[in-house]
Amino acid sequence: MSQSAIDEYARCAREYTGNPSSTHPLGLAAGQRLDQERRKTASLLGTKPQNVFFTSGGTESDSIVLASLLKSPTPGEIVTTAIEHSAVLEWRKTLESAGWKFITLPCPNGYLSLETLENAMNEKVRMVCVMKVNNVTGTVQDTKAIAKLIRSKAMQYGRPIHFHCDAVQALGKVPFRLEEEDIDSAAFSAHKFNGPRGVGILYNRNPSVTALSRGGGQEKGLRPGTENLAGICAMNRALEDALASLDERYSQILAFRCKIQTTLKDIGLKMLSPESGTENDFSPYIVCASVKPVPSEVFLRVMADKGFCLSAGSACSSNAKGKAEGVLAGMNVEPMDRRSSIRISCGSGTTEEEVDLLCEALRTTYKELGYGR
Amino acid sequence: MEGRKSETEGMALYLIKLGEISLKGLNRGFFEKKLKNNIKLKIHPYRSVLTREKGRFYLYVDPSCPDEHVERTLKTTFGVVGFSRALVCNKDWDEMCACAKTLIEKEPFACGEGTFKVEARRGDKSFPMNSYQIEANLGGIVLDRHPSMKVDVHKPQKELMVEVRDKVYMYTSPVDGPGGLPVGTAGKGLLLLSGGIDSPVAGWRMAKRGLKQDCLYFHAYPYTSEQALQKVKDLARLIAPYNMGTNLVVVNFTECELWIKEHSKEEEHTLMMRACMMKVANAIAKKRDCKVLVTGEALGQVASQTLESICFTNSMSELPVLRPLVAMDKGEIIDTARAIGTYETSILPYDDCCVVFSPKHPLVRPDVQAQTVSYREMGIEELLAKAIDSVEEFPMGYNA
Repeated sequence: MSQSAIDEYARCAREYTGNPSSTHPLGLAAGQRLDQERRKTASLLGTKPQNVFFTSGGTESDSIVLASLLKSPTPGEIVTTAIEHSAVLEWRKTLESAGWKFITLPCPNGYLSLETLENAMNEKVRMVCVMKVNNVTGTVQDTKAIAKLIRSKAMQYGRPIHFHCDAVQALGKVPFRLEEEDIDSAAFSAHKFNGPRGVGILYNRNPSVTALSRGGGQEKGLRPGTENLAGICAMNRALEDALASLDERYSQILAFRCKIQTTLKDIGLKMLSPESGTENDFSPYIVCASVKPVPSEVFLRVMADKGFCLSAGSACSSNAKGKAEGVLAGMNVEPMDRRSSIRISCGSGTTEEEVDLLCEALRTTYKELGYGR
Repeated sequence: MEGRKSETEGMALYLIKLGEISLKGLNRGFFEKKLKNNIKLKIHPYRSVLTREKGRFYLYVDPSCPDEHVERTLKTTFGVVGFSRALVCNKDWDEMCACAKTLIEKEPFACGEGTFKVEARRGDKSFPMNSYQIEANLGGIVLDRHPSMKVDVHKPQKELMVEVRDKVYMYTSPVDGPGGLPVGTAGKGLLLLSGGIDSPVAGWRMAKRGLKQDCLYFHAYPYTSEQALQKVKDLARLIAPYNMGTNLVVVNFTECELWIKEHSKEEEHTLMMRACMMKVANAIAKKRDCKVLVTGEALGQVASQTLESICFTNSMSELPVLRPLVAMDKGEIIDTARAIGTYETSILPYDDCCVVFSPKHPLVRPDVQAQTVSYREMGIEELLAKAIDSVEEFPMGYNA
């Protein structure tokens, strides 16, 4: 969490003591500030305030949209990718038990091809769910082209198809404006752009999306529960900062990534993230590689002892055996490479000196474990 | 006797049923003394007095000691077959009725349902009522208080026991103890403790036969995690009360594992690793005056536990290797692990062996001679000696 976000949080928590839904003066003041923040979020995202709903984060935002399908009297099909975050994939069982067909499309090398998507489309498809930036490898999907395909199919079938996008890893890191996209709903998490944990955004323009939980009708009933005003203010401050410096930081992180990639290749490690491309192809913030034959956890332990916090697969599921490799399996990565996958993430605070130390540590660690050059 | 009586005045009384110990001959005193010591040590710091009469222990505990502490102690002390909280009164009928009324207000009688029986033993034949009269009259008191209960003299669900001796001792159905023999009566062994389900159960079973054990764990950081070591510490702590405390000895095994990987055939990795573990365990056992090794091996459970593999690892040990689980099914082992409370810790996902050292196709039918040659060819003795000399020790107390 950035210092400016922390300061904003403290200021807001002190200043707005009322519940934004209360009608007394303290509540009204908080409510006004909440409206103001919603307008600000909308403008930062490139959409209208009425499409912005504050949530607890990406997982909840994804869940509200996917759970809405359960309300449909006639189950259909949902098409998604095999490399989605578990916030989406974990809905498979629930939706299938309600009669939905849950189709996960393979993404060789981390990309969903339009051809694969087109082949999966049929009259029963009601929702397509594709993430913008992959959380394990950093691959970026062409959501504009995907949306175009979906709209043409919707036109052909004569019924709407909802397009949901998990854009948690995109916002504040790679160029992403909702006004340039044709997405029906999207999920965002504040902590991905130095905001507080436990705050997020659901962008939604489809009125048939309904609430996951029941409560006091906040957020137009879509996300009941007292709004976390201080968290929302801090998130907006962080988002404002992230977007203002996006281009500058992007080039800096890209330079870091190049350095890391060169080191990894030099040691003899296999990149599981794309090795080349533009901002439309990958996010420089995430690098995934295989330290085969060393198991990821062994490599991570040694790196942790040297002060570097790396991850294996996806951090959200690394405690569960096998699941960490799910995304890589969806990319058809070999089992040995999946088991040896490490993920390096840079943040806005990462310095060149830290990257140099990291590269040296990667080199020595692989050597210490009996491999590398 | 008078002195002892005044010593126990006002103390809570528990009757302890002894099982196998009662069948011992001339050496019964040795077993009983050990059991007394074990119980007293665990009840400490609370004052306790233990006496033995007619095949039972009478445990008097300072009234400030919580019931839970005594119960936890007796449930984890091998040699205790069962125990009951008892009330003592004079050989006076009114006092006896008052005691019975107090006891039937508590569990297992408190719910007022089910079948029961009153069983009286009249050690003092001068008592004016005979056993049948005592049973009938006290039974009447139970039925007055709990009219829904029924008498069943053959298979009662609950019992109220009355013993008329120097005084009258009254108690309800005993709670089960763990049985077995007092820990320490069978000498000392070294348990090879991994983070799995089996080895803590093996340790528990040997403790049940009176074997005191130290525990030995092979740590291979960074190939096994600190969480895996913590898991083993937790397991040692969980079995320590049954074992009257234990010492967990942790061997740094990383260099040895890497050497084995480098200097043996892939299919032999696991066997060579186990051979080295046996060598290290023997050396550490001798240093600590342990006369046997204990492992959680079960015949045929995995590749390294086939008859041939067991023969090979056995050949690497000078000390006898006891394998209390050898003929148990996994399901039976799991049931015991659940009962003694180690299962939930054992299944935490922190492996005690890294896949790096696990061959894809391990040798399942090794030949003792051929693999002994392989072992010698590795030339690992120096590293093993280093490992033996660089152990860390973690003492675990006997109070859970």
